[in-house]
Amino acid sequence: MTADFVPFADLIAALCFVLALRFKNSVWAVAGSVIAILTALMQPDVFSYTAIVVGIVIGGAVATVIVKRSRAERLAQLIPVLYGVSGLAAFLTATGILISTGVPTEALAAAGVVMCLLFGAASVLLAGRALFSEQENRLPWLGFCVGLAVAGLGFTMSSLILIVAGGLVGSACASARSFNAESLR
Amino acid sequence: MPVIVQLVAFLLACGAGAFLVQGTLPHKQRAAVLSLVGAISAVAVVGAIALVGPKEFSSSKLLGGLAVFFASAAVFASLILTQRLKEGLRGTSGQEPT
Repeated sequence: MTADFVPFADLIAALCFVLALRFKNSVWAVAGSVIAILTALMQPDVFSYTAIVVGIVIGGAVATVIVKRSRAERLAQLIPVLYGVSGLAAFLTATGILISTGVPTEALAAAGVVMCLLFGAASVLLAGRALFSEQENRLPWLGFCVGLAVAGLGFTMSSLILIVAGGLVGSACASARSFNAESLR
Repeated sequence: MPVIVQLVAFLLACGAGAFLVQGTLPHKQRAAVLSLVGAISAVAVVGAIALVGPKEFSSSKLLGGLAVFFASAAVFASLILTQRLKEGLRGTSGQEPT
């Protein structure tokens, strides 16, 4: 698989995410995620497919059971958990990159690692507090932090899809906050 | 990838996200949309996959495996959660959430 293929696939996945936000339809989000994951699996330096597939299957099974078994009135409380888990994954990935390759030499990549670690940790903390305080007001901030953590990861790995997804998530959550503040008035 | 391309892509994505979500959220549908946005943020699984990729075992690979677990859990959870929240909206308000 040539490397020329990757930016093109990333662009299509990013377009799918934009369409998902435009039509508020999760089918586009599924398409974007599948394209992004398949592209990541086709990279020439990815070998251990077993570990990856086992991780995806176990994670998917645990999440499916938890969400399916939750009572309908408690579903909204799962959203901060969701964001916190995404932020935690970004944080862990950035830590792993720091351990394996050290601090990147390029300025943007180094800034991305710092951004990812800071906002990833912040999102985990915010998710924990949102879980126990049951205030919805923290949710936009939480999404903002997760978005910046994902974008930071994208700058570190110079991955277009992570940068675009992070920007989309961060700004979408921040603008959801402004609208919510108006509707409360 | 050149630095300027990455920065421009980030800024464009910020603009698109703000433009697409702004002013489109009745209060009840906000939870469903935020859950959908969560599905997009869970694409961090891509970075985790790249970290697990190498053949030899290392501590960073272990961290990557944990990250794959958490991120894929977030992908599945947010997609199912979006469906359930949309069904809930349909049941209470009787109108199709779009």
